[in-house]
Amino acid sequence: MYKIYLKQAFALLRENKLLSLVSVLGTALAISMIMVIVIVWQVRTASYAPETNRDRMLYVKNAMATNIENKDWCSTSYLSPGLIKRCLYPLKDVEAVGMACHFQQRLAGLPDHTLEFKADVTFTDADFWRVFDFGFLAGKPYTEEEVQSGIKNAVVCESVARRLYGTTDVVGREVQISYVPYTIRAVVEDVSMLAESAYGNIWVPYSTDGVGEYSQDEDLLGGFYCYILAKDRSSFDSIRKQTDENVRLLNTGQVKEVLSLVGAPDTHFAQMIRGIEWEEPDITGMILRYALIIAILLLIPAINMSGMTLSRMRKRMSEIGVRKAFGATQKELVGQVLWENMLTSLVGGVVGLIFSYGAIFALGSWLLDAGEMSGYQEGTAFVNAEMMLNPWVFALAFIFCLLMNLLSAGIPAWRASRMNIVDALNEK
Amino acid sequence: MIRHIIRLIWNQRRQNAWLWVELLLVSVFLWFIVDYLYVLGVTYASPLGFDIDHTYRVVIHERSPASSGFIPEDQREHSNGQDFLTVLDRIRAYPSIEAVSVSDCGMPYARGARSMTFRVDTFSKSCGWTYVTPEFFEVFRLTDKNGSSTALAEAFRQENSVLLSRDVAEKIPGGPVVGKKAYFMNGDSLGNTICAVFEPIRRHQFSGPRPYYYRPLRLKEVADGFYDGSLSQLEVCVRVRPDADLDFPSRFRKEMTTQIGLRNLYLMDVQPMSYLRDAYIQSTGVRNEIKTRVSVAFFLLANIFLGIIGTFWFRTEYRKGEMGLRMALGSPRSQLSSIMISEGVLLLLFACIPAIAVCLNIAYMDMVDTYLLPFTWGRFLVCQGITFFLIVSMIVAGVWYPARQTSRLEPAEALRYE
Repeated sequence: MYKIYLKQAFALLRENKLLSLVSVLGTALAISMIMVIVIVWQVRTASYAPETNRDRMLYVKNAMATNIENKDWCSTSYLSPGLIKRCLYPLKDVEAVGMACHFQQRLAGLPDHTLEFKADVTFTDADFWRVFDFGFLAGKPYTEEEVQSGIKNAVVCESVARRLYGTTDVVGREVQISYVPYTIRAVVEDVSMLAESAYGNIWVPYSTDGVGEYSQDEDLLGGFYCYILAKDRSSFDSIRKQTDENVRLLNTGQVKEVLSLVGAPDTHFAQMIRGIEWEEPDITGMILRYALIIAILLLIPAINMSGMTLSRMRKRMSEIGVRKAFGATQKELVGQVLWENMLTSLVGGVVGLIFSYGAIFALGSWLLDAGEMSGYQEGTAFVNAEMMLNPWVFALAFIFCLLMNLLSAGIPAWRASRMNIVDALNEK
Repeated sequence: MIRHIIRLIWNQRRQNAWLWVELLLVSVFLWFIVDYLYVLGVTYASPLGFDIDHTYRVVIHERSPASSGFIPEDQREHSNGQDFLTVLDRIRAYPSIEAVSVSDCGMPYARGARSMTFRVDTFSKSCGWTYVTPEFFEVFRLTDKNGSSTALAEAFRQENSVLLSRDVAEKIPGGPVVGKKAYFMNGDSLGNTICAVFEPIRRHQFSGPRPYYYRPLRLKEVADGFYDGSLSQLEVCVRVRPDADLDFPSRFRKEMTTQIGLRNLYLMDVQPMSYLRDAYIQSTGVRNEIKTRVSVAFFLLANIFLGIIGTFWFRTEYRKGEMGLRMALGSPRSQLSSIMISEGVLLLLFACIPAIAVCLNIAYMDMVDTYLLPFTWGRFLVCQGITFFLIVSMIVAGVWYPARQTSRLEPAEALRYE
């Protein structure tokens, strides 16, 4: 039966080429816009190397210190290493707790400084290498003991290694980082700026540099982000409870300032949309905003095509009358119209999906947002297949096609099916 | 004629209803976007208050104690600050440089901001502010009301001076402010003399005027080592002669790296101000917002086009008989297409009336920007006009092909459909 419907739909598509083109383009336009949003979203939220475990990661990026005597005096910043060690390192049931200080630029150079260039240096602890899943081309990262003793080891990305020495075989050689000599311990694959947490050109132990450690009284605020890798998502609650408890314990010993993590640890999604540091992320607001945009993108073309489908129905009234006269039920007729229209929607959907991938490849840097500091950074926000190709993307594209179909053909189908047989036969 | 078209629309009301609903929705959404872009456009076009063409930031850092060649404090003859001033002189002597300024987290597009309350007589206000050297006004071409940057720099060279932006100065009661004393809240009892007023400046192209004042950066404090350890927060900015502004960063870098690398200092980077501007605007997120809204606007327009072409195409097929009859009764061909265009435009007019009511409600509920530009009838009319024009052009484009098909029909053939 469906075969006949599809055959018929195909014939209809060919019969009026202009109208078919308009319908297919309308669907394709809507699906491609929606899929661009979905793919951009996917690149920002899905897991891919080195951020392979985004779904079971928790983030603590901001802390607020409030003066005990005067509650109006408070300051917000990133975290100090001391705070992370006291409150977040002791967490149980986690796979790793790492920290990093981002957005630092240094002058990378050869020992004789005949070659020097600006590089983004990320200052990390040893567990950072366990939280993220870097592709090592050579060597191994620095260990906790080496971090503790402040040994000047560095991990460099492939492009930095090549720029310095023309090869990735550089383990054991020296790189000067703003005139401080470091030994290269490992080379990793380049990281896209879109993997904001793992990103860097060079990574070194935080203990080799005073960066991100402010000299304040109670050592709460600093320049570090904390990344928690949970065993699985079900332990998120337990981790949050433990964190709250650790913060509470810490605060009982505080003399001048008390600490608040402002709702953190956040999931990947929550940390991404957290706007103002001292406010909890507005997840509902964000979802509503996206829902509204997608609704506009679906609704307007649907209205458009409803009009056209209805016009087409009028032309075929006698056919519907005949089918009715021979006993087709209302349900069957609605099904027929929807099935026929599905072909248009699917063709449009496939064209739209191709459009959207094309758009991302052509306009990648324009469409993809690598974070608010990205303009100052040296890397590129490159995308690869792993980031974009995901069964979810195709499933969503299909679901949106179905929705589009229902919206654009639903009302015309219902009206056609309710037509009076005699009127329909007379083409009134 | 219009009555006739209205009757035509009414007779086709079933299909027209879809088009009408679509036009209504699109008019509202499109107006919302046009209004946003209009406000940004007007803001973008208004003067920025400074000029960053041919300007660069020279980033100078200090070596850390761990670095090779670091000279510890007890072995230094000069403070890092003194060396910094020497380096400044060297930069100033570099050919093709017009002026060199130093500011303390206060250059255009600087991330982070200071603000502090100041007082003149009984008036007080919290403003953004920073420390700069007099050349700052020449490097970034801030101007007084006569358009002169040199006059500002001269005024700023006077002892203990402060320069206010015009938007703040105008708020201070009691006539011209030049010559009055301004006091600052950080325990300053002497006060500074307001020596000149400069034209309002803005943070970036998409923001409104920012009340601001400049206080003198004391180079003596730099020489005394006050900034040692955090010299990188001092921004060295240069203006290059336009004729020599070719590949400046790499040329400067090549020739000046050793000259700037004096003892504990080194040249970190030479950045065009336009690079800092782009990075700054990226960090504000406004560009993403514009991208989203422009794409939605294009999407809506494309849909109107497709909707119109679809509906009218179908209708021409359906109405061939009617058109044939018109032709047979002596209607010129051009009139046939004008009837169809008028139908579309009239339909849009009918959709516009409720749309305007909805738009006014949206504006009334304060869902549009009123911070950058107040909501006036003028703004409303201009934006509605642009919206209307955009949709009409889509209607004309959409009707054109079906209408041409109709007018090409031979009357005899067309009449067969009747």
